[in-house]
Amino acid sequence: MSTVTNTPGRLVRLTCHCDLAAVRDVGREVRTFLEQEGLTPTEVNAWELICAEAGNNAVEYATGPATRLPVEFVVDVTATAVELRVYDHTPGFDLPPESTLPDPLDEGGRGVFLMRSLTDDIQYWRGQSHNCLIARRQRQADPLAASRVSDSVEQSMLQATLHTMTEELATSYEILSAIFRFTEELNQSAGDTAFIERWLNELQQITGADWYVLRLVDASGTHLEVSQTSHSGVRLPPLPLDDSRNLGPASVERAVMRSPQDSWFDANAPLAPDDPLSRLGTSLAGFSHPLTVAGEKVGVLTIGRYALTHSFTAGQVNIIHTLADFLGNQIRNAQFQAGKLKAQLLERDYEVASRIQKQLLPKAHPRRGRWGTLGFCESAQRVGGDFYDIIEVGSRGLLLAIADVMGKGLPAALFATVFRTLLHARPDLARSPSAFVEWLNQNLVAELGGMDMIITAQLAYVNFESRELRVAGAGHPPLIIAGRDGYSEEVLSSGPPLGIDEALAFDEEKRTLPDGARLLLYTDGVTEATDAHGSQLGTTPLRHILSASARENHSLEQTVAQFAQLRGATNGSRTAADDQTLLLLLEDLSPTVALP
Amino acid sequence: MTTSPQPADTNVLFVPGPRELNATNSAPFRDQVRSNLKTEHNRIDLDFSTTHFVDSSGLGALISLHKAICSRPGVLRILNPTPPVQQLLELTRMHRLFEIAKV
Repeated sequence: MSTVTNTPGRLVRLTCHCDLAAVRDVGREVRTFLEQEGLTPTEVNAWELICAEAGNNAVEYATGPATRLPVEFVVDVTATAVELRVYDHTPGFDLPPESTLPDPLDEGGRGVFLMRSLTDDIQYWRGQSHNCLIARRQRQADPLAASRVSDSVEQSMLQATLHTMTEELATSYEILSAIFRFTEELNQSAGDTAFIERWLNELQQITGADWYVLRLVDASGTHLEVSQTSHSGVRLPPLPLDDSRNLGPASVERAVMRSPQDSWFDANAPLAPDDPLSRLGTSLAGFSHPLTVAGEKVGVLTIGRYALTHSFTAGQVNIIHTLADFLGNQIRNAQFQAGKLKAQLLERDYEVASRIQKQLLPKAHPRRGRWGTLGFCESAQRVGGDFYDIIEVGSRGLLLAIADVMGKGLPAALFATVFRTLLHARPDLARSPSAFVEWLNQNLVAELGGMDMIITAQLAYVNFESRELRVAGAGHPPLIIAGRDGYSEEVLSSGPPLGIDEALAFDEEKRTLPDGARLLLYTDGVTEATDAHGSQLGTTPLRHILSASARENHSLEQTVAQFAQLRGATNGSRTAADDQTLLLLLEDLSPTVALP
Repeated sequence: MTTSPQPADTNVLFVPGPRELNATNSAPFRDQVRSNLKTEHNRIDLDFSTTHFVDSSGLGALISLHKAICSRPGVLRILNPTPPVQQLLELTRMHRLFEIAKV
């Protein structure tokens, strides 16, 4: 317990043991004394805290015999000022000329800062037997204090409480009214640019901010892009989010994306010189707040003022947090709705493209006497780039065409459509596949080049009467021929793919079809299909099936069934990695088949 | 001091604040809150509606708890601080570090 010597009215002298609890008791005594002297609650709070900080230092730094010596407090109150003197027996310390706050995460080092911030003048005198800390502060003007001391204390406390409540009420009112003002718009425009701009301008006004920058994570998730800023004339570059490498400038906005906490900057912790935010001005103070929705960061709002010393109050920080988080939710909802709509539109596009692609394939597979055709096309995705066609040329000829647009999905299907249209545009070229391929290339090269795509294709003209076969290819796998007598061959078409160069010439291979001929055109999705061990199918199994079909005069259906069996064995239950297309021409030597 | 989870949210450690958080009780207060932290907690709510005095030692305890919960990650909230405590938090800019909530 402290020993009290009180000079009524003006001065109190309190002495206590060198003990933390005892100096705290002194602080309470000082509080009571100053209340009686008519100081305002704010002043009383400040002096109570100064007493505690000075007393704690006097106890904590006392060593040896000094811990048995008392700590003395003298409080001197005049009409205009209060002075506190604290006598300690510690080794003493050098009071720094200025006090700054330590790093926010340091758990100590705020005592001197508090005492200096709460007083007008503070000094520390070191002596041989003891030291003395002297703190002075002017009193706040209070004309009623002298006449109604106890009433004014109570009234001032009520006023302080009222002030706090008013501030809280104003904060809540500002938040609620802003939310209500925009509620009507939520169904129509939440998340759009105009909505975000109005919301942020409102926030800027309510909190007295001078500027703001809202960045959102871009669609690829790799950068923070500026969505809205109060300084539309200042160019702020996108910020890379990948911090595994040292990409981009030092940025408080990037730092916030890696942390769940706000990041503040002011005179004590200024922005890095190369921080893009520095482009907004020279005396910036404010903070960056991450916008997080269900654990996912959607962006960062940075808001501030130009005055380095003029910080946001706790109430204003609350408003910014609440309105920024509400905005983040609206933006995420809008992004989700937009993504859903985009997916629906894409789904519809795929449905249309898939229907178109099915229309491209021949409705019927021509048969001419002994000769029959059959094709098969399966896309790796719902819409693929493989295509085949069979065009009748006069009464004794057929043009077999197969193509593979490099790539999959919608663009590949659209180019397959264009290819099919061109193929039917020049029936006069059907008897000369090389000229036809050359013409196709000239008409496709501009469009394909613009999309960085190419097409491999193969055209085979067959004359049943002369048994002539003419083949021209553009970067396509070889056609396979087999005959009844055991002959089989892969006819390589050596031209480059379509779409590389307009001025290309294409060679033509000529063969005479053997008895019981089988011709197989296919895309590389068939031969490059892999089994469960990762081995590619290649052409050998195709040649075996084709040779067996010719030797044993299998029907079209039998032969295609064997190819289907081969595909099943290769792909198993897995979806093929690439489109797979087969086109088969077969001469049936069964005696019952009529001659053409 | 007693601590108790709020009935509605088992991820929150709800702690009624002491009347004072000063050099005499800040270390035991900090240690007791820490010992009550469970794996599932990702928020500490300190109800400071009846806490009338905090000094720099008390601030040190709050910063220590803030660091403990942030490492999970989580958040420390100061609920309904009284005017002198709110003034102290703003003066030392701790309102930038902790979430100050009026509930």
